[in-house]
Amino acid sequence: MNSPIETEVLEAASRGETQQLGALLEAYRGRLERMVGLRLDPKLQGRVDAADVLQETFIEVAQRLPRYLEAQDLPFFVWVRYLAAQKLMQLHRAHLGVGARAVGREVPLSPRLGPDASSLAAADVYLAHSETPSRVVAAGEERERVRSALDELGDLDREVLVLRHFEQLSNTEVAAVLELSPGAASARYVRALQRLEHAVSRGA
Amino acid sequence: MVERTESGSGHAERDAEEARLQRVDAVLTELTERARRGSPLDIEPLLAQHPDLAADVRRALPALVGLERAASTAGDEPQAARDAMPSQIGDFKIVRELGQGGMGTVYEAIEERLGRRVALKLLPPRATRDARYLERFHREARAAARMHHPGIVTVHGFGEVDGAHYYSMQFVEGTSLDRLVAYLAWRDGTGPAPALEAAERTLLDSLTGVLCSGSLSGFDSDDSTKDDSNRPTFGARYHRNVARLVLQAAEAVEYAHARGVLHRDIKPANLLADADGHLYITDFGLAKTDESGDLTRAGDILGTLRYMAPEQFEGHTDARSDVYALGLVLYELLTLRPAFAASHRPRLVHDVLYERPIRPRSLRAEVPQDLERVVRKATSKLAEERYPTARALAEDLRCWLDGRPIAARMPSAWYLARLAVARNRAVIVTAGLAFALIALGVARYVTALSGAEAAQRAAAVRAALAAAESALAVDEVASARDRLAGVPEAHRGWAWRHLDACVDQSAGTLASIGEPVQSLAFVNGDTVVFGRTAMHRVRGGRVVAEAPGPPGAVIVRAARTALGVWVVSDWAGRVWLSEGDLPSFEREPLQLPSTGFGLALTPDGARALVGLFDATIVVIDVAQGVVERTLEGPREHVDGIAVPATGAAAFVGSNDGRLLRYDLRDGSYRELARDLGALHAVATNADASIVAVAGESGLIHLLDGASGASRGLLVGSGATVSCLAISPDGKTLASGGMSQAIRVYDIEDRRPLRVLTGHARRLTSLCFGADSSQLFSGSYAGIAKEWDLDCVGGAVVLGGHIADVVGLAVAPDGRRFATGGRDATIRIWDSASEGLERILLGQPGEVSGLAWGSDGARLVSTCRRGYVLGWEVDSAKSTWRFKADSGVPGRVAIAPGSDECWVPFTDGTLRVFGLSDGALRAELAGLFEGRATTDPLGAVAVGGHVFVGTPSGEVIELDRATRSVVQRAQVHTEFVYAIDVAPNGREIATSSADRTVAIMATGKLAQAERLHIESTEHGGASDGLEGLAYSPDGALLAVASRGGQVRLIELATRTEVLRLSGHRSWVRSVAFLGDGSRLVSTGSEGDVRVWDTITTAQKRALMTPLRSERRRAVALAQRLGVALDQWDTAPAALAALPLDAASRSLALSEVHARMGRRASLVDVAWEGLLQNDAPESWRSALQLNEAISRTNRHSSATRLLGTAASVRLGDLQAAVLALTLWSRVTGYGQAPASAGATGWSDTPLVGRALAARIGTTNFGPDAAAAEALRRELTGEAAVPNKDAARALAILDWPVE
Repeated sequence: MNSPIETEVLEAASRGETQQLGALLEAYRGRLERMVGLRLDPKLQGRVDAADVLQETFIEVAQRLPRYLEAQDLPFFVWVRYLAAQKLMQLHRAHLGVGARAVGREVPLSPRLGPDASSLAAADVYLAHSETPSRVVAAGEERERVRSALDELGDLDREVLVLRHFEQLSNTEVAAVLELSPGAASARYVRALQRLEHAVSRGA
Repeated sequence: MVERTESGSGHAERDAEEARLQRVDAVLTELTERARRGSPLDIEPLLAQHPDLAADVRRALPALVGLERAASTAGDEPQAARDAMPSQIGDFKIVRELGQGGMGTVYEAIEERLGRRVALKLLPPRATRDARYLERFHREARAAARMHHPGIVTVHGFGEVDGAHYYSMQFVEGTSLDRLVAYLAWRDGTGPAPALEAAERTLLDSLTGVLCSGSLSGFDSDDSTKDDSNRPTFGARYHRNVARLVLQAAEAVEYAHARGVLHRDIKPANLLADADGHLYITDFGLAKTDESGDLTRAGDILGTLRYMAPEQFEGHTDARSDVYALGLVLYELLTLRPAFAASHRPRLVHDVLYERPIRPRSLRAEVPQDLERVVRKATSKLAEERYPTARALAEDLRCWLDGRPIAARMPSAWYLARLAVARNRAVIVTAGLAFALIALGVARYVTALSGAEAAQRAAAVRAALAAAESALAVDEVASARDRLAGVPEAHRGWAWRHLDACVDQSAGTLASIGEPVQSLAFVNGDTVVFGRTAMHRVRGGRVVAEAPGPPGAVIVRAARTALGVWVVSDWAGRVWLSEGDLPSFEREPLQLPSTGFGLALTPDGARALVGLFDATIVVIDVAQGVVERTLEGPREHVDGIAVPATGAAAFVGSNDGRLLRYDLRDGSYRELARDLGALHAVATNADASIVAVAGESGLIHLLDGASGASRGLLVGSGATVSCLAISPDGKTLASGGMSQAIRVYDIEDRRPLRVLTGHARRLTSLCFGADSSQLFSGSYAGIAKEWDLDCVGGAVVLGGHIADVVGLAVAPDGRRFATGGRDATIRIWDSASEGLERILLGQPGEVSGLAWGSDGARLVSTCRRGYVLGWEVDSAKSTWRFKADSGVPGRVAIAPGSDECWVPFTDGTLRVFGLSDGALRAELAGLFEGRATTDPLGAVAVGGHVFVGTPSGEVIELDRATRSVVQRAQVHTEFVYAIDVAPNGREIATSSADRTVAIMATGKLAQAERLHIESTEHGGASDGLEGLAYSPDGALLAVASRGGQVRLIELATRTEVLRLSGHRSWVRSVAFLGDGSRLVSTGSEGDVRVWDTITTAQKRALMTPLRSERRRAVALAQRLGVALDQWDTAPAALAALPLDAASRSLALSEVHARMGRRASLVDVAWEGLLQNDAPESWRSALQLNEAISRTNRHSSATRLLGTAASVRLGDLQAAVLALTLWSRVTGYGQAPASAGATGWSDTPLVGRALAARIGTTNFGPDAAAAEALRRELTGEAAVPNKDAARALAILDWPVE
């Protein structure tokens, strides 16, 4: 479930040696920031920074770690990501109130997923922060094409693709996040790619 | 070992397709990693290793590449690139990034030694690992360094510093033409504002001035008036100036061509213009020098799609390809838009290959006609129609500028004809493949294409069918439909027709409203379909009335009482009340604090309940139009509300996972259940005895409306459920949601009745009509459909058997068929009405073989305990029986018209019985080597011959008259399960445990042709082929596989055309009915499935006359028989029902079939399990438990058995769930531990042992309790009995 390094760090942590834990969490930071970037409501982009969300998440990790170590019912990264997703949900609720739901999906796919990434608007904002204008123009066409095709997919398909490619989760992790069997997650993923290709080619 | 094979079911096999897709995923993951590493995606070697995955990988790959690109532009990649921007490379001081070229990043830099400004092109570091890439980079630099032309950017030199490869070139203070065009389009008001830095803006401004008003290169020196308006004019002067720009480019290209260098990537982005209008070609990134060999290889597609000449897609490039690109540049400069504007790759490829661009003059009438001709000649699809050289293009442009006649003429008829032919090629394939190739930069793509011809079409058809089938299996209707549509008419055989019938099982589409269906209501025989902005009244599939919703409102839900009171809610939290057939919005809406997602009305229409997003429920007095009360209780928003007919209570399901029951008189509430996961839908029957709730978890919980006690759990597809509906008669429940399929259940026996496919998007709403078999549904796609639950095309499941069904025989009339199983019953079905006709009871054990006499009145069955029985079907009575001392009888062979039956026994004996009297007419002992097994041996009789299989894989042919062996052959290497004879009688086919099917001419057994049936699981050790049947037209062979699928083999090609999946475990037998439009298969879980090629519409036409009152009565009785809790009282209860004699007798048979079964089965299971402690046995125990508990909720013994199996298999979660459910059902309390102590009245010791081993969810295994129980069981006072033994066994199981 966890990689050898993760297992080692967690075993040490259960013996009370938590020194390496920070390094492990830092190693997750890139992927987690990407997740937050993708899922933070565009309206909050100016007000909330991904780093803040992760800061709070890591505090939460420290508090809940003993219980996780006992249960270990999720891969560690998936569990940390889950806490980050929860933080994000709380933030959305706190800042956007109940109206947050009206713009999002009617039904969250999985409590572990976090706010949906149904529109890649978040990705756009993220993009704008990190790129030179010329790159934005050059990438725009490609992104728009993928994005409109993604928007045509079912929610679950889209999320599987976003998790695999944008958040760079492994299939096992996707399965854990979406509460599917690894086999079902794989099947979903392959089919979703094919549907996306179909949507791209048909949408022309 | 024998027991294990025979015990049937095995555990639910992993879906083979899923396993394969996992392997596809593995390949795709590898490719993703390569993409992220920046390694080349050399897919072909990878696919060569996995030929069975190639099609899926190819289909998924373009999207994968697209996503990785989007991800890398959206994510941290650019960040890294920016961080990686060097400040100094050798002697070069980097100033800024100018852009990304085809093969690297270009920087503005200062060459410090010379103090000159240069453009420095730098290869991306990760690409330097690729030797080929590096080689090309150097070649580019060498090629470019040999050019010295005013129109070509001069290359100063190249080199490598610290692993960074670069070359330096002339810095052009200018802009690329793509930027220019974008800017001009903006200034023209036809394009968006480009992002510009001040310097670039100044440059573009001045260039625009020169192009529109000035003149280039001293051609025109007249000084016409300057246009003062802000908007540049694209008049004659502009046209002349852009012609000069392209002329310069053509001259430069001609210079390069003369030196043996093709550019191959001419596009506006590679053409730079300075402020004076001088043009420079840059980026010979794809140059192909004649002297350095063809490193890029034929077929290697590089360059930019939009400006690629059609022949470049086929790997051919010559000077005319560059001419073509120059023509497109001219087109773009004249029209300020690309000739091929599509932004979707496959579309773009298609357009480039087959479509003529819009004529420049129809976009801009002011474009000179002759210039348009130049463009059209230069951009001909066919290279031979173009200017043969860049010089010729340059010459024609010069002619035009000089006012001389040009060479370009309109396209020839020959050209147009060829173009038309070219369009008819396999456009989609080409486009899709080209998309992938270009995205990948991978070679050999187009070459692969040209090889794929008719021979591969059949494979493509099979792939399409397989894809459609697996799509349907996961409810992906739209995808299945698309796949099927792609199959040419000529290839639409049984398999296609079957899948086609499954794609839309609805009785018809009611309406297509163009926006998501939000709600449905059934009103006086019509259906009202609510979209977001309008509502549509539909009758007989036609919209008879249509009305807009409230102005400016987006409708969320609507509900109506039978009396005609409507309540409609919108996103803004408003609610409208009205009366009538359609809602009206005249009354002022009530403004509620938040959006109302759950709506319900009391049956008298006096009150409306609205469940709000803010976690409250508002009770509205309809008459007064005021909020009467606000109910608190839920902790999260409220999606589901149901009010039963009594009107006194309301059931509220909230996203907090709780079901609350409100007393509407005082607003008080009770929590009926919790921890159900976010709830989205609630439904209840008329007397509120059952409440169904479902939501995110995908499970449907049936709860007691008064106590909240669990009354059952329905497991659907696992996808979130968002709508539920209960039929007016309270017997049927329909569910829908994220899955595209509707699932319909029998509420009383908790059995799935139907899985209905037809919608191609997720379901939003469901409602029943007046008749409980009429269902309506609406989807996100804006489609509303009608369903007939009694009549479903494509595929149906016939329920009844509760365990393994091995025996299957079709009556001579081709209409009725008999099934017999481990539950010791034989059921006779009528395929036309898809109903049960009769149950034959009195079988002394598990049925393994069945055959009909030619008259259709008699049936012969065999039983694993050694019996052979003769039956009279009409009287449902057994007329004779035979018991063998040794050996297990197999399948039964009866030749058409014959009065005797042949039965092979596993001890090596073949016996012949008289059909009517059971007289033993012959006994051929020692015919083959016997084997101790309970599997049925195959046997078939045709004409004067009988064929039987043996345990060792032999097939023996006997003469019926002489009862002597005619010939025998070792056809298989293992047990022969089934033999069938081809319709023409000249050929037989056999199936075996060795996983092969053999086909042989009847006289030539030794020349059998063996077909290996590819296993559906990894290893596939258990994937034997138990059943086999020819289709009546002889075209197909259906094979029953232990892999859980029916495999259809096309005999003409000996290839598999379709796998029918649906059985959750082994498929035991298979047979075609009548004309072959129906196929029956039986499985080890008691499931009988009918697969057909008949659409719902066709079936309705056929079945309507059959749907008599009697059929309904039978169905009712059947349900009743299953549902009655107390079997003892069933006969009396049935007697009281107004049923005709036939119906009553059928219902009674059903009751008898189930009575007395449970205890013995459970006991047998326990004893067997404790003796043979193998996972397979426990898995079958689990299935047995499932089968029995579906029909008998009070059997705590079976619950325990199931729990024990879960524990034994290490699935503690399942065990806890089973225990919890059981204790809820029996009302003994929630905690398994207390259940162990207080309940388990049947087997308290076993219960306690299990409770100690599992513990509760909170506390874990209870070692102390286990120890105490062990002492009790082994102490002096202990009474040894079977329960004590079981309990001890449980305590002794090793901890996993």
